[in-house]
Amino acid sequence: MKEHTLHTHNPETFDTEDSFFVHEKKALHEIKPSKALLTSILHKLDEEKSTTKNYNPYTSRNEHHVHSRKGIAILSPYMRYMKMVSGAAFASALVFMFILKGNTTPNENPTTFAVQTSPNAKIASVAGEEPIDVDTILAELDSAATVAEEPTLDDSDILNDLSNTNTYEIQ
Amino acid sequence: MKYNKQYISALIMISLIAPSMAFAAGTSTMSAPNFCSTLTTFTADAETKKSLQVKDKFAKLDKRQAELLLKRTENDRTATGLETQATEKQNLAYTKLLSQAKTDAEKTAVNQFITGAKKAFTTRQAAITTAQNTYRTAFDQRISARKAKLEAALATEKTSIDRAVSIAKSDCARGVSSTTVKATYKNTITKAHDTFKLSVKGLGSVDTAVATLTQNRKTAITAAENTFKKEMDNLKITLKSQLGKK
Repeated sequence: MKEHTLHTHNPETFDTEDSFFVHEKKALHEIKPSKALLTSILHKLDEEKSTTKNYNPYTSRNEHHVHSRKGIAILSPYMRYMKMVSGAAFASALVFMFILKGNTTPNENPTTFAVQTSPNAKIASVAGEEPIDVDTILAELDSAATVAEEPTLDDSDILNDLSNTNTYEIQ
Repeated sequence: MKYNKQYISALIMISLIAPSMAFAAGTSTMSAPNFCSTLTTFTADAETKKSLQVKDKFAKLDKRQAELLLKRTENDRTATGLETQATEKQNLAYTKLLSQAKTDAEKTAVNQFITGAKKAFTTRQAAITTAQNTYRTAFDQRISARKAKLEAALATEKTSIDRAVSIAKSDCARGVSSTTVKATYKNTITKAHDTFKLSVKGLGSVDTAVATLTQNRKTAITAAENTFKKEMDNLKITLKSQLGKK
């Protein structure tokens, strides 16, 4: 039987996320033809199971342990790989969720957001209606008074002209 | 022949220069009799020019006052528009509050709030309008007083000028030296105009004249805003407290 070597990836050695996926894809590709290997392993396990009298994984703890150890010994490279891949996938999913959560602003209105912490400030809602925040409504009433600037009058040029001109003056 | 040519040249030069010298000397030596003879015409012309100047300046002043009133009207129209928008917004808020009040107690609380809020808005607007009108009335009074002071200063100047003209005419008629008449007239006219200039300077700028009014208006509006805010805060606290008990 052809020897199938599995990649033992260490996520820390990956330079980028892309390189990780390239390695992962490559590894999966290499695993694909090992279906025969798995079938043979399972067959071997079945054989051992059938040769063991009164096999009960719950009662014959020692035997099960022996068989399990054998199975684990056979499957260990594959399991290590699967553990690593699933661990990495789980970690990636966690990171992705964390990023998603970080990018989502629950409420961009700080007033409303602050008000939500005050349950007494909400009017009781009726079925099918969202409670309207009292502070939000009241904030709409905080309009400043409309006061226009008063126009003024500049007569300085007129007064200057009158002061600087004397028609009765003789040279 | 040589001497004859020199004499002829000299005579030509003298004939050219002499009239201009005599004319130049005439401005000083002949001014006195000319002043008396031209006094009536000169003063009539000066009065016409002065009258036109004053008329033109007061027309400018009136035009600026009219523009000011127009600007006030425009401002009032804009303010009314904004006020209407604000009232619509307030009514919307009242409707929202009422739509959320389900129980009788909630409805009572909201209605009490609305009544109080409307009263607060009305009181604020009334206080601002009063401050505005007080300012405008006082401003117009100051402008009118300023105009009156200017007219008084011009009248005082004219009185002095008329007196100077009258004295000059009298002196000319009595045969007083034209130089003396002119000097007296010039001195009186200069003093009269200096007095006028001092009066105008005493008026200062309009902004200075209305500075107190501007400050009073600002203080009144700020007070109205503060009272309104305090009233609204109390109303809100009361409303939230009443709704919070539900």
